[in-house]
Amino acid sequence: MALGQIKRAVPRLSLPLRLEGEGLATIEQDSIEDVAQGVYAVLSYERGERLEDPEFGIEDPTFEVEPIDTSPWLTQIDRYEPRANVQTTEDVTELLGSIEVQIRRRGNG
Amino acid sequence: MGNFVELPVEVDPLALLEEAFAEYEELLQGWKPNLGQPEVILIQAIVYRLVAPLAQLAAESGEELFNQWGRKIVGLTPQAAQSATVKSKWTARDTAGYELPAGTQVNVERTGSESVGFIVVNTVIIPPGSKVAEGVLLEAIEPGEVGNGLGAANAVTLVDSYGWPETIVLEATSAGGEEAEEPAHYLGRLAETMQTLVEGVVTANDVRIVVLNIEGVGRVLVIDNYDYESKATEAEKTTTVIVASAAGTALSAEKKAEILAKLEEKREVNFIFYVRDPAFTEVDVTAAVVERAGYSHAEAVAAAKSAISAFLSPATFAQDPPGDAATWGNVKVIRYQDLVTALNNVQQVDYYTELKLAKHLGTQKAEDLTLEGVGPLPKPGTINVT
Repeated sequence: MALGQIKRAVPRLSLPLRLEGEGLATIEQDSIEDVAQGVYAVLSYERGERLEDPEFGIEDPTFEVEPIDTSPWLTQIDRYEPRANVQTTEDVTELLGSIEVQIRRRGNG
Repeated sequence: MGNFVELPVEVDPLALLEEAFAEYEELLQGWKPNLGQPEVILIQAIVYRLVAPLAQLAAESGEELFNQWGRKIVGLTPQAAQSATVKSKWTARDTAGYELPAGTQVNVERTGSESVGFIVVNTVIIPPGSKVAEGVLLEAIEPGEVGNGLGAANAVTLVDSYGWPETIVLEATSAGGEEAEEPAHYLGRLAETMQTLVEGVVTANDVRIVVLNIEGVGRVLVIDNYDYESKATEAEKTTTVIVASAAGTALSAEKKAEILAKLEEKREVNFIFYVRDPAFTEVDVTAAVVERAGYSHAEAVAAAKSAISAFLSPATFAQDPPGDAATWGNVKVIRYQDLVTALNNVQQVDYYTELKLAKHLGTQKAEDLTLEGVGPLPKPGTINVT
């Protein structure tokens, strides 16, 4: 195999940032972890927080009536992390708990 | 008024981002930026929250510097925001008599959902037998135009919980609220003010500043109302200027002519200036010193000689306060006590057994020495220390 044909993994910093060994933990670009990380970022930011793109993120759900309508979240994920294909959704009835989001990478699964 | 002092500092955050991403892509072939990615978040945060605001700050620093200069050096104060005021009529529920304290807060409705806070400016007393207080001055809490334009048609509600007020009505239309002066407007006004300032010498201190700014001049003594030629001491519009180099030496005739020309260029009509050399007096000193423990006699003698020479130096004599090279008090007497102090301050000298001074070749005594001439300065003569 010629050198030019070797496909090298492109590292990305892990989100949230964390130490691993003597450096920061990384994940592989375009891996399922990378896609999940993109979804995590979209859901972690409140709209308007990112000065360079105020549309990024979701509206603060703190004062919304439960169950919270998550369809705008899916729209945002579709817009900002189009590699993700959200497989399951569930009603959010407890904001202080954790939400498990199952995703699949579009295209090659 | 335009932003005439905005510095040409321009930063395009988007261009910076693209540049940073391009470098990253070059470093990591195949790397693609994604908004949810930590590297991208960090780069964007640095550009948008650090670089861009700092660049903006740098661009505005010129305006701020002139602003501070105008306030603190020129003494021109920017116009502060003013609160709107209006008089009001308060009616009590009965005639028992009440006190309306200063600082009492009311809200005046501008619309159904918007109101403006006002406070009572001065304490008002409604005496027993009366129910009404008229002309109660209210002032908007928030300075600016926000409190203007409210009148009798606008409902007034009491914020503080007094039980006695029955009705509160504005007696006129609130007015007088003004926004703080815009920085650019202030700088425009500052520029206009500077144009009205007289460029010239009016006071003795003006003369001193102008002359000290001439190259080669180190010391200036300005004697106001003194005519150097006639020796008149109450000569109006006449000023004698004694000049010397920073080392305290006389200036050349050409330099003095240059100084005179500069003063005449800036003088008011009919002002007369004399620019002259100091009157130097060579001073001899004889001292006998005893060295401090730890020093040799030779060290004590050398240090004492140096200190006496420095005390008599025309470069520093009569500085007021001592050490301020821009000053020169019109001192005409060398105080013996000051000479003693100069010697006592020498580390290597414990005490002296003899100390006297005189004009060069005169009879030396342990007493004050009066200097002669206009703008006198001493010069070390024969300094004999044993």
